[in-house]
Amino acid sequence: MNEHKKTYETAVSESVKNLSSLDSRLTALYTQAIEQGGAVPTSKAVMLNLVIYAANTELADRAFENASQILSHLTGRTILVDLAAKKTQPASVSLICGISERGDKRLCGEVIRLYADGGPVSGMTLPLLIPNVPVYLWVYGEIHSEDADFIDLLRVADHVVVDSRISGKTAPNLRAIDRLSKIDEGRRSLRDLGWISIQDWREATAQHFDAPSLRRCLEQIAEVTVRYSGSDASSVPESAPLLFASWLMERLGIAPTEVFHSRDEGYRISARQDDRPVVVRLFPEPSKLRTGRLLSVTMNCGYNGKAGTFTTEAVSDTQLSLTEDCRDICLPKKVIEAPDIADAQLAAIALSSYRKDRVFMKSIGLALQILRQLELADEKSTRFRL
Amino acid sequence: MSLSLDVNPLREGLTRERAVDPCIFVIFGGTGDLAHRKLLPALYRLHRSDLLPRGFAIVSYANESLTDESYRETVRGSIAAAGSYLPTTGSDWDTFAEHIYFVSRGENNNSGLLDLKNRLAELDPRIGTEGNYLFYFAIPPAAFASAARDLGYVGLAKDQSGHGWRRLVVEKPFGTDLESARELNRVLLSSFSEDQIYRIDHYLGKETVQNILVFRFANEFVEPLLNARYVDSVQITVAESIGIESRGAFYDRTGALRDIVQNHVLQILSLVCMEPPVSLDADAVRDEKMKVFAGIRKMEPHQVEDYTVRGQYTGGMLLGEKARSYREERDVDPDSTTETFIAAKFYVDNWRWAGVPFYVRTGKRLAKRVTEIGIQLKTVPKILFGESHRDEITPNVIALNIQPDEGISMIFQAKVPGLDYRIQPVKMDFAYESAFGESAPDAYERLLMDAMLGDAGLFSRADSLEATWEVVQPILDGWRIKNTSAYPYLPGSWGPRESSDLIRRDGRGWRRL
Repeated sequence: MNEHKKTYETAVSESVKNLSSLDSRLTALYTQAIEQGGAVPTSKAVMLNLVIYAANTELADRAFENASQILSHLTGRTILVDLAAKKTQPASVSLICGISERGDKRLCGEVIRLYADGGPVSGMTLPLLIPNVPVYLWVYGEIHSEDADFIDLLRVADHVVVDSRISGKTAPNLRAIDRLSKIDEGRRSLRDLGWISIQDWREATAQHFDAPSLRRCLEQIAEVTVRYSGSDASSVPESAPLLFASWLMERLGIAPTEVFHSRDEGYRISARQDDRPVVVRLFPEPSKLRTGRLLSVTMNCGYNGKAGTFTTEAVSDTQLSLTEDCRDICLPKKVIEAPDIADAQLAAIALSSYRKDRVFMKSIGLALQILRQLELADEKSTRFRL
Repeated sequence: MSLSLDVNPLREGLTRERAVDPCIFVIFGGTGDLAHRKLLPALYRLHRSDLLPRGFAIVSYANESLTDESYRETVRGSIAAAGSYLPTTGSDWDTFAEHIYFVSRGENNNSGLLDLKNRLAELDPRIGTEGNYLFYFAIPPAAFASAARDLGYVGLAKDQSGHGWRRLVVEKPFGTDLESARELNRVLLSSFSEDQIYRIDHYLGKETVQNILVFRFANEFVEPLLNARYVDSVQITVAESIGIESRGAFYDRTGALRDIVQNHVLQILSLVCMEPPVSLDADAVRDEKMKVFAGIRKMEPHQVEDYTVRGQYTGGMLLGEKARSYREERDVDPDSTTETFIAAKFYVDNWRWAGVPFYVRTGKRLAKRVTEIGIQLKTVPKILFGESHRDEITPNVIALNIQPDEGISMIFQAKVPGLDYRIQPVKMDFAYESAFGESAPDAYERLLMDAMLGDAGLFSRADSLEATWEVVQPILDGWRIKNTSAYPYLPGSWGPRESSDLIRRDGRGWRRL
């Protein structure tokens, strides 16, 4: 996974009394940054507009910190909408600069923080967008896909960044993401930080099957077990393991037929690949790692008339190991670096791509099918109890 | 639903949609300069980016008598020298080093080759490479033919089981003239098939060279302009500020025409001139490039002095330091007439480019290190703002900057603020670094990856390589027949005065870079 380790080294900011004076204030800040820069030339490059929609000030503060870390890499204008903040000034502006990789330029991006005080924000935000560069809308926190003001903002966005990882709200969050994706016939691309956070796991799992002869296993899957950090299986799995399992099933043509769950056995998805039965299990396990983080993935299959087991496992906070039982071909055990990536780095990855992620959308679709079957199973068991 | 397993279905949508098959990377000449300065650091960077397969080994084959361990130590030393940011201790280095092996060619080449074959046969099942071997010739060009023949002779050129692949990467110079290039192709093709051979030109691995295709074919406004109707002329400059460094013996036999024009310059020219390929498949792109090479007008011997200028740098002062002349360089004949500079004019005789001159210049010890393609458009057909403004209006230029400041610039006219129509050219710059904030991968990383992936799009095919020699050979012949001299030029200049005359005769001038 790409890393965006660049740190910002200049942050100058000030309050703005009148939104119409924003441009002159920003010009003044650039002048200040150039003076501070000394011998290293300061450049302003605008690659994108990033509108961050934060429901409260605590979220907005965190969003500001994250935006600061990525702005010196992905230069552009950030408009941070602090929905709930009450301030005497309507806005503040900041300039965030960082040294380029070669070390010969200082690249700067700007943050305009709007204090909305509960009022409508699209009218304040839209005039501030820089024309002719893409607009990213980062929904920081829960998704308000029914709110008219939010929809107005959404309509100017080319790309939307969301986060499916809000603990305990997997189902409403995934449904909201699915709804968002369908607004305006799905014309904008959607990036999910939760999905990006399992990219290392998807990459590691894919690596098992880069050798063409081992790939035969993929059409003979018997069982998949996904273990993840979590306390119980009482309602709905966390989004990361659910999306991971959905991804694997969607990619391998495994269709869910029934879902069960119990505290002891976790989630058991009965499914079919072609005409063969497949079982996919999701097991929450107590762990010191963040809730929802994947712990291991084991795939059992038959290939060349034999059974095979392929395991990807977190061996530390930052490393995954890849092993398989050695049959015809023995690949060496491999350990890859896969640290838990901070939100700012996940966002930087999200903002680096213009492509629509069709695999993600298909995986969400399959995750929603599993959730629906889980609800059906719960309804059935409730009726049975009654 | 039946799965298609020709490619890994789990890779769709990942950062790397294709991955390298498990394989063994065999370096012929693994103790040489190219292996240590370029190949091994590039492979190490690929390892650090987790781009190499799990089943992977590097086997170096060279004359020296070294153990795996002592060879790894020499690699560690060269990687430390290649870039201080690459760690040579710790887990990254350890896991890379354990993939490296050494086989000595020894006194007897035949027994050395059998040792190599045995070592590959021993490693193959252990690391699961399934017979996939890539042979990289980082050896003197004179040894290419015999090494290829040897690989065929010991049965390493083809996988006997039929499951694995065998590939051969050959470095430039690929021949010294048309005849030797044809002969080398013939020998290579007697052991390997064309789709196994990857003739490398590292210029094509540069991000900005690849961006020529993106700029042309991903932007609707560009392509309609690039033809004889709108383009006045094209200039391609590949200038180096350094001299020949330690390459005296090689360079004195080669010269700028063979070293740069036959490969780098003509490859760049083909990317600027080619028609849109039907796809990015290797052969689709190479077919279009081949048509360009075939369309370049071949010079007659009597035209060569009108269309080319040779130069050789003299001694002098460069940036306040004394710089020695070419003839004073180490391993150079004191009476050498080898050109260290060439300026030339080409035409591409096809429908799109008929009549548009392509001026190229390349040399050592020039004013600065810069590679640029300048596409100059024609002037507007009528000066709307009055004849007095004719001098103010300069032609539009689209400049593709390959190095060192990678990017694209456009020069166009703008009105100077004021009550009257005063017109002035202005420049609009796109700089890769400012826009994307990160450096492009090294050209070798890209090319080694492509060779391991089996993507030959950035490598030369036999026919197109011979076609480039068919362009260059008449120039070599013309110079020989006419005994054309190399004009002296001072270090830090833009070449001999005669180079300016070449373009000035057409009423144009070299771009000021």
